[in-house]
This record gives sequence, structure tokens and C-alpha cells, in this order.
Amino acid sequence: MIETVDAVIIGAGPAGAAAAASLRELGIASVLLDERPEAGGNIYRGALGGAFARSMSLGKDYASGAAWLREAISSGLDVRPSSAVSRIDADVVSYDSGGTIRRLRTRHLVLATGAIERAMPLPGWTLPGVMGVGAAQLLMKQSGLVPDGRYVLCGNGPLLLLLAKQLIDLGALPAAIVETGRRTPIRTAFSHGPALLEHRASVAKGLGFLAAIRQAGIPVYRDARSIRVEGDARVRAIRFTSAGQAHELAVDLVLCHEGIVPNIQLSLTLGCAHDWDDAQASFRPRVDAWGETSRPGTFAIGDCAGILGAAAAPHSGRLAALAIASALDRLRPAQRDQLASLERRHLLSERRFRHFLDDAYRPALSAQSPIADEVVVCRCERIAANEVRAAVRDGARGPAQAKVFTRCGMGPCQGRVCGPAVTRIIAEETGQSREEIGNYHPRFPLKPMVLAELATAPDEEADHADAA
Amino acid sequence: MPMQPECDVAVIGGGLVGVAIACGLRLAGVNTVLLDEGDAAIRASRGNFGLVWVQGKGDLLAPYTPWAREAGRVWPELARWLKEFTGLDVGLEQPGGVFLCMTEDDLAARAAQMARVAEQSAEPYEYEMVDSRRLRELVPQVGPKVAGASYSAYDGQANPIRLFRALHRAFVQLGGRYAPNAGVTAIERRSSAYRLKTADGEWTANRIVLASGLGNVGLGEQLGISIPVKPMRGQIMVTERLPQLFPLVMEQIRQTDDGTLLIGTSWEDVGFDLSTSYGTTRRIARNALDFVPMLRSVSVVRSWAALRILTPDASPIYDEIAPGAFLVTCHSGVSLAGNHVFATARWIADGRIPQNMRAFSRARFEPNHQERVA
Ligand SMILES: Cc1cc2nc3c(=O)[nH]c(=O)nc-3n(C[C@H](O)[C@H](O)[C@H](O)COP(=O)(O)OP(=O)(O)OC[C@H]3O[C@@H](n4cnc5c(N)ncnc54)[C@H](O)[C@@H]3O)c2cc1C
Ligand SMILES: Cc1cc2nc3c(=O)[nH]c(=O)nc-3n(C[C@H](O)[C@H](O)[C@H](O)COP(=O)(O)OP(=O)(O)OC[C@H]3O[C@@H](n4cnc5c(N)ncnc54)[C@H](O)[C@@H]3O)c2cc1C
Repeated sequence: MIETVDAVIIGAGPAGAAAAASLRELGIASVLLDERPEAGGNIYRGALGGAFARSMSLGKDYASGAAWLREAISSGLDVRPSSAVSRIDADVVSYDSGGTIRRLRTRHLVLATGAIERAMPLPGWTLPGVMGVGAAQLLMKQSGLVPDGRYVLCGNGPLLLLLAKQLIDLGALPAAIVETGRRTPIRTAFSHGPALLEHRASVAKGLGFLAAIRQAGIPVYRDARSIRVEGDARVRAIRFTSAGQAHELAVDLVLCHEGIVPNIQLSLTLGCAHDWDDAQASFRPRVDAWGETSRPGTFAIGDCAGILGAAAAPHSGRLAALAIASALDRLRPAQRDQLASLERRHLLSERRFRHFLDDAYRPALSAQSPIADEVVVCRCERIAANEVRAAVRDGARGPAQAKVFTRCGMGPCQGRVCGPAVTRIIAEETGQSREEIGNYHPRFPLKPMVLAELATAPDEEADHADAA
Repeated sequence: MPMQPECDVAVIGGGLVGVAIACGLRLAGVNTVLLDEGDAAIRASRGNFGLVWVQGKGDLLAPYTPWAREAGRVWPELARWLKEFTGLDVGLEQPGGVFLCMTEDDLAARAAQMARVAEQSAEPYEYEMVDSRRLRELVPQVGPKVAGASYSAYDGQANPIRLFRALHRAFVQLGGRYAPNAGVTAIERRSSAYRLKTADGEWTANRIVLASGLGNVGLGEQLGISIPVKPMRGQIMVTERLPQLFPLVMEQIRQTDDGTLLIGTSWEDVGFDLSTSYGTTRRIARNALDFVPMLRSVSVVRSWAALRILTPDASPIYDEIAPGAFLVTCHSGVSLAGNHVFATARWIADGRIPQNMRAFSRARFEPNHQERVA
């Protein structure tokens, strides 16, 4: 018999943890799966036992968030870390736990898989010594590692500024910040006045980051263009132009960032409908007011349903919990709606602030200017932009055909990294909209899995479909 | 207003079959347009196993045996031409192949089938039934549980997705017009031409080729003709890249020229359901390890399902089903690609069906066909 539960939540970040905690308060047992060895998601990485779990070094938001998460997790939730979901068949979720496949049956599936960093395919980005700002930050949270040697931060976005501030506080100053896109905060800010007023604490925090960068005397190059990372075996320098001047900085490490995008591998695989979000330059699953996707009984909450940030994540988690409780007859609709209105108010407010952030930090480099022909877009299979363009000339009009024509997206990451770039190149070449073009359809298993493990998977019920 | 046909032939369907015919028509100088659906269409040509397979074909329809052998013979010419003309190497290898049989019963059944095919064949048909010991001389990696195999020197493999792309590129380079996002929704016959309504405007053509795989059923209805094909799902898994392993091609596990292994497959009568399933994945993995135990710790990076386009006797249909309307469908579009580019396209170009294609008419499936022939 397959273990059966009322709800399975995939991803133990703030959204998933809040959904599980909220379900529990409503008397509903759920299982919370996360592929990492520890709950916490991206923002509260290391919150349970990481280098800064109980310190103020990463700021008070991290400290209080970490405390909230520890409390939620320790309140008797069924959390299963090191459990990577590998496939979902109808109502059965299969996950890998230490080299063994386990299964759960459920009527309610909650996707809370968070966000991933947007790939920044600039010349040289595949050299050793180039990494994501988010990835660097996760190393720091988890293992206390900070960059040694000369490094730059390249790109834009709140996370980049946050990391700059955190590294300055830890005494590991960047050599420079190479900023992409024009910064027009004043004009942008004006059009978002009410939202900024409402979120003055966040605004103050952001201004604090900028002040810290200024005080530390870190050179900031605005509106950088023609950025290239130079090096043979690894990064040697970064070259770019800014304000009409060419620059070359000798560095060992380049930390790139142009925002984050929803991690939609699971919702794509499940065939949920997705929409192109122009402001965030990414696809997200289409959800209703409760977070339910076009696949009945499947919810998407937190950043995997569209980037709204850590403060919003618990609210969307609770909304999904309310809908599930009501579907299970544990909550009357009137009660549900009343409880929901509070969560919705918070979400709306977060959304207003997010509109400002989306406006202020457009992914200039990775969404607007064309990717240079020779730049590798698919790291797994080492496929360059011009090969994708050639596939379009051979007749491909979307990612599925481009994939079989070039092998782009056929590697272990299944297009998680190159998906947005490929859709964009096809859009530029054919004049079709991103919506028409769509995205890859990642396949099971979502992460590579050895044959022996697949062969010894439990067989609670023998397969009937292929008796022939 | 009299209709001005925009092209001589409209090939409907841009899978391996349609694009092969379209290339062949351009080679014959015919003004050709290739109408196809969009990116998300069901396309067996994107999900197949890539065998260039001969042995055992013709079990249920004797003339398929020489047709399949001919296909194996013309394949090198196709590969050479594509390499020269498009620059794409489609990875053809024809080192011979084995069809593995796990149990003694499987082996006996296979032996009977092969004997039948050989007996029907007019020309000499070379194959060998091999026991477990001899099999491991041929392919040392095969596990001890495997009872044996049928071996034939005729078999091989190619890179099916590169073939697919090379044919598309060749067609465009030959001056053919490819119209994606132009699925045909209605066919009308007007005097001596066909008018096609598509998702992207209308086309007229003197002649049409129905090469839409499973989509042919709907197109046939437009012409009032029932086309006996149905979907048969197959699931395949692909592994990480490995150094080249096997001296021969195996029907159940093969290594691509990129180094990945393709592991297959299933035969599932589940309609148009394109999902993979837990149970089948597990069974394919088990079989693979019985076949080649050394693969235990090899990583599977992906799996998928694709739909075979199956006729009741698993053999192709080549037929002029209405004046100027040609039907082409088959289950082995990779293996038969050379025939389609050269012989089959020529038939459509000049309207004269060669002797070796005559047995593949649709009429063979009509209930009283046997009696009429008798
Ligand atoms: C690299 C990175 C760093 C960030 N740092 C900050 C920061 O410092 N400050 C800030 O305000 N915001 C940060 N963000 C944004 C922040 O992640 C989100 O706003 C917030 O964490 C969203 O919460 P969530 O619960 O939706 O998802 P997340 O917190 O991202 O949690 C998602 C969880 O799902 C799990 N998961 C994914 N796929 C599977 C699977 N197949 N099987 C099992 N588990 C799976 C992941 O392991 C992860 O733990 C960061 C984002 C990224 C990508
Ligand atoms: C699992 C599996 C393994 C296989 N292994 C092998 C193998 O090893 N060797 C081998 O030789 N063969 C193999 N095959 C078979 C081979 O893949 C097929 O014979 C071949 O791909 C069929 O090509 P097709 O063009 O007829 O069909 P498809 O590839 O399905 O293409 C049909 C095309 O028609 C288009 N279409 C449909 N309706 C319309 C319409 N109304 N208007 C316009 N266009 C339309 C579709 O969009 C599509 O492009 C395998 C098949 C499967 C499923």
C-alpha cells in the first residue's frame, strides 16, 4: 500500500513551511518534502544549523525569519529533508531519499519549489570563476564561505545589493560593482509612491544597502554594456563599457545576477498552464485566487508561482492551506473566505512593492539585448546562441523542435537554465510572442537517477498498463 | 474564379515521413510545399529509438521484407548525400544487430518468426539464432540471464534527430517551402486541384501527400476514406554519456553517437496519452540491468513517451487513395528514410508506382480483400 496523506507539499521554504503549519493548525496532516538536507528554502538557508543560524551577521531579517522557520518546523510537522521529488503520476508523488525511491499518495499537491537565479549568458560566463550571486550567498549561509581574492558583482537587482551589504559587513569587499541597466530610481519611484510609503522599512533597508556600498568606497559602474569575462582556464578579468568608456578589471571571481525566476520545472512537467509575465521577464504557472493551478488539486505557492519575495510567501502558503481545508470539509466556506481576506491584503501589499522592484530592476542584459552568437546558452550540452538561431532557420518555431534539432536543453538540467534564453532567441528570430513559443517540457526523472535505483523502485501495485 | 494552384504538391505533415518525401520531390524538381503543425505537435519523429532495422520485418506482410532490405542498402547513400549537402552527419552505422531474448520461450518464438521471414524471402536471407554463449562473444557486456538472440548483419542505427533536422535543412536548401503552424483542418477537392484550409491560411495544390502520422486519420475523413492507423505508446529512457561500449547494435539498448544510451521500450495501447509511467520506467530499468548488468550505476537523465503509428500488420501504406492524393505512413520512418527520399518520392513525382511498392495499398485491410485477391 502506498502511504496516503491529505496533502504533499514540495519545498520547505517560507511558502511551503507556512502551508504545512497552517494545515496543521486546521487539523490536517501533510508531508513537507525538500531535496536539501535541511528545511529553510533559499532565503533561510542554513536557518536550522548553518554558519549564521543564530547570529545577526546577515541582518535582523534573516535572524528573525530563521527563528520563525525553526519554530514552524519544530511544531510537529512531518518534514522530510533530503527528499527530491523525481516524478508525479496522477496522485502519486515519488521521491528519492538517500538512493531509495519512496511514494506518497495524495489528493492535494502543493508546489512550493521557490525560485532560481536567472542565467546571464554573457561571453565567458561558463568559465570557472563565474557564479551566481545567489549561489555565492547560499555558500555563505550554509558554510560560512566568503569570496577571497579580487571579485566583482555584476548585474542588478535587490539580491545583488543585499549580498554586497552582507559581504561588506563581513569584511570581504568587492573590487567593484558592474551594474547592468540604467538606474532611474527617482522617476520609477515617483510612479510607485504609495507602495513605497507603505513599505518604507524595505525602502530604508534598500537605501541602507546603497549607503553602505558608497561608504565602503566601492566603485560602481553604471549601465555597463558589452560585458565579457576574459580568461582561459579560469576568470582573469572582466571587460565592459560604462559611460562611453572601456574598462578592464583584473579579477579572480565574477558574481553575476539579474534577478530570480520561478522554478517551474514541476509545474511544466505536470502540464499546468503557464503565462508569460513581461514585467518579470519569465513564465509562471497560471493560478486562481487560492493558488490552484489548471491541474485540479495542484497548487503553486511562493516564488514558484511568480516572484513575490519572502515576505509574501507565507501568505500564499496559507491561502492554499485554507482552500485545501475547505475542500476536505474541515473549514466552512464562510470561515475560509474570512481568514483568506487577511492573507490577501498582505499579498496585495507585497505585490504593489514588487511592481516597483520589477520596474526598477529590469534584467537589462539577459532580457533586452540579443545574446551574442558565440555565447553558450545551454551549459549542459554546450550549445551556443548561433546554433539555436540555425535551428530556427531549419524550421524550428519553438523549444521542442529547437531541442531535437540542437540538443539544447537535453542535458541533466533539462533546460532549467537555458529555457528562458532559448525562448527569447526564438522570439527574436521569428517575431512570435513568448507566450506562443512557450517553454520546454521537462521530463521525469527531474534529477538524474541511477538505473539500479529505478529498477529496485517499490512496486506496491504491479504495473498493469504494459502487460503486453 | 478559377483556382491558381500555388504549388504542384503539398505534403501534409513535417515528421520524418513527410520531410523525406518532400526532399525527394524537390530532388525531382517538383514545386513542393510542406505543411506542418506547430512546436507542440505529436511527432513520433522526435521520440524514436533510431534503429535502422531490417531483421524480422515482413513477418505479417511478405513484400515488406525486400522493401526493408532495400532501405538498409540505400541508407548509406542517403547519409552521404545529407552530409555533403547539409553538413550534418546523421551518424549511420550498420555493424549488424541483435534482438535479445530473455527466456528460452522468447528465443524459441523469435526463432520461429525469423524462420518465417527467411522462408518468405525471395532472395537469400542471412541471420543467425545465437545462444547465450555465442551472444556474449558478439556483445561481451550482455548478462548471463539472457537466453540468446537473433543476429543479422543487415541492422544498424542512425541519429534520428539529426536525420530529422538534416532532412528539414535539405528541404529548405533545395528551395522547398516549409510552413510550420499550418496544420491542415479541411481538404476540398475542386476540379483537378485540392484546396487545403490550414491554421495559417489556405493553400491549393495539384496533388497532396497525406504524411501526417496519426493525423492522417482525420485527413482521411476529409476525403471520406478510413485510414487504419492507431497509436501505440513506447517509453524510452536516456542516460548520461558514456564511452562507446558495444560492438553491435542491440534492439533493446543502443548507444548514440553522442555517447548516451537509449533504453527501451514498451508497447502500450493507451490512445493519445503521452505520459511516462512509474511502472513501465521500473520495468524498463529492470530489463536493462538483466540485459546489461554493468549499467547498474549509470544515470538516467530523462525519459519520454512517443506514439508509434501502427497499421494492423505493422507494415507501411503507400497508396493513391483519391486521384492525386497519396497516403504514406509507416512505423519505421528512420529505417525506411532512404526509400522514402528516393523511391517513394519518385512515385509521387511521376505517378507510376514501382513494382516493389504495390503490395502496400490500403485495400489490403478491407474485410473481403483476401477473397477478392483469391
Ligand atoms: C539563490 C537565491 C538566494 C536568495 N536569497 C534571498 C535573500 O537573501 N533575501 C531575500 O529576501 N530573498 C532571497 N531570495 C528570494 C527568496 O528565495 C524568496 O523570496 C523566498 O525564499 C521564496 O520562498 P519560497 O518558499 O517560495 O521558496 P524557497 O525558499 O526558494 O524554497 C523552495 C524549496 O523547494 C525545494 N525544492 C525545489 N525543487 C524541489 C524538488 N523537486 N523536490 C524537493 N524539493 C524541491 C528547494 O530545495 C527549496 O528548499 C533568494 C532566491 C534565490 C534563488
Ligand atoms: C517509441 C518509438 C520508437 C521508435 N523506434 C524506431 C526505430 O528504432 N527505427 C525506426 O525506423 N522507427 C522507429 N519508430 C518509428 C518512427 O519514429 C516513425 O515511423 C516516424 O517517426 C513516423 O514519422 P511520421 O512523419 O509518419 O509521423 P510523425 O513524426 O508523428 O509526424 C507527423 C507529422 O504530421 C503533422 N501533422 C499531423 N496532423 C497534421 C495536419 N492535419 N496538418 C499538417 N500536419 C499535420 C504533425 O505535426 C507531425 O509533424 C519509433 C517510434 C516510436 C514511437
